[in-house]
Amino acid sequence: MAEHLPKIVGDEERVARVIFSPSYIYNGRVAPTAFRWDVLPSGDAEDYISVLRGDASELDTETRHFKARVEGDERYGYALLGVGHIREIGIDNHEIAETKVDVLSLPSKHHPNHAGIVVDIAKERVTALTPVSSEIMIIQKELALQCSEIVRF
Amino acid sequence: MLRKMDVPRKVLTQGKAHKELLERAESLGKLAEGWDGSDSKAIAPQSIRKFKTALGKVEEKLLQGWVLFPDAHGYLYLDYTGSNAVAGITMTGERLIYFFKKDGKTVKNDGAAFTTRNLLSILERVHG
Repeated sequence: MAEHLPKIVGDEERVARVIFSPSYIYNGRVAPTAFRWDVLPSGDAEDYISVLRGDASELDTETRHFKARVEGDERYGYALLGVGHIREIGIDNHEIAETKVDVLSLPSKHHPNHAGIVVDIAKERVTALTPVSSEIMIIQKELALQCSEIVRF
Repeated sequence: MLRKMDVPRKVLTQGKAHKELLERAESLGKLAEGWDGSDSKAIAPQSIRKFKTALGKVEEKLLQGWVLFPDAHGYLYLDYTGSNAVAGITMTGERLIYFFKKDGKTVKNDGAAFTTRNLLSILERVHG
């Protein structure tokens, strides 16, 4: 379905951040901490926040088969964000020195529509091993505020 | 002369916001290791305990608009969205890492000690 996607993620596209744990949603608000960099079971630290490209019907079909993080746990859904708005985060935040936020196409075998939100602060790429800082928190908050829609599984 | 028990004390009103945050802290404290993938940690009991202690000393009006979320590092995250401010406070067992944006100004701090006094001070500055 997503093999046709262009290699450059367009500003006009929307991407979905899959939210497994219901704890990340409260009173209709998405947790800034839901936008996190994972350490994979292999031990590799991701240097991007995983998202999926595609329209609503494709995402519904694809995510239907996702399993809960913990067996027996409820799965929540996904939050949609505009790519152009994500890219503006780094530009609008003049108080954060040299911050750049981008969305890159990172297709995988199982998810050809996989992409990643990458964040550079002071020319250093943020990874899952970067300690929590107020600057990272500001970017996570901006991402949470950009969620235009939350879709339940 | 006032006896000790006659000394007037400040009575805190603990309403809906207080109750919700307290219940939420207790609920997040039950998240098991791996709750958001294999690298996610259970919330540190020290964070929960310190937050609950602080909560008992905060006026209800300062808690309006704050929501508690988990952080996969094993921290608590206090999130605020208001009409003229946004804020976030990460509560590790020992430290408060926070920011707030208010009236076009951003305040950041990467390592205040996690004390009731410091948490109260942040809440007051966001609401003040």
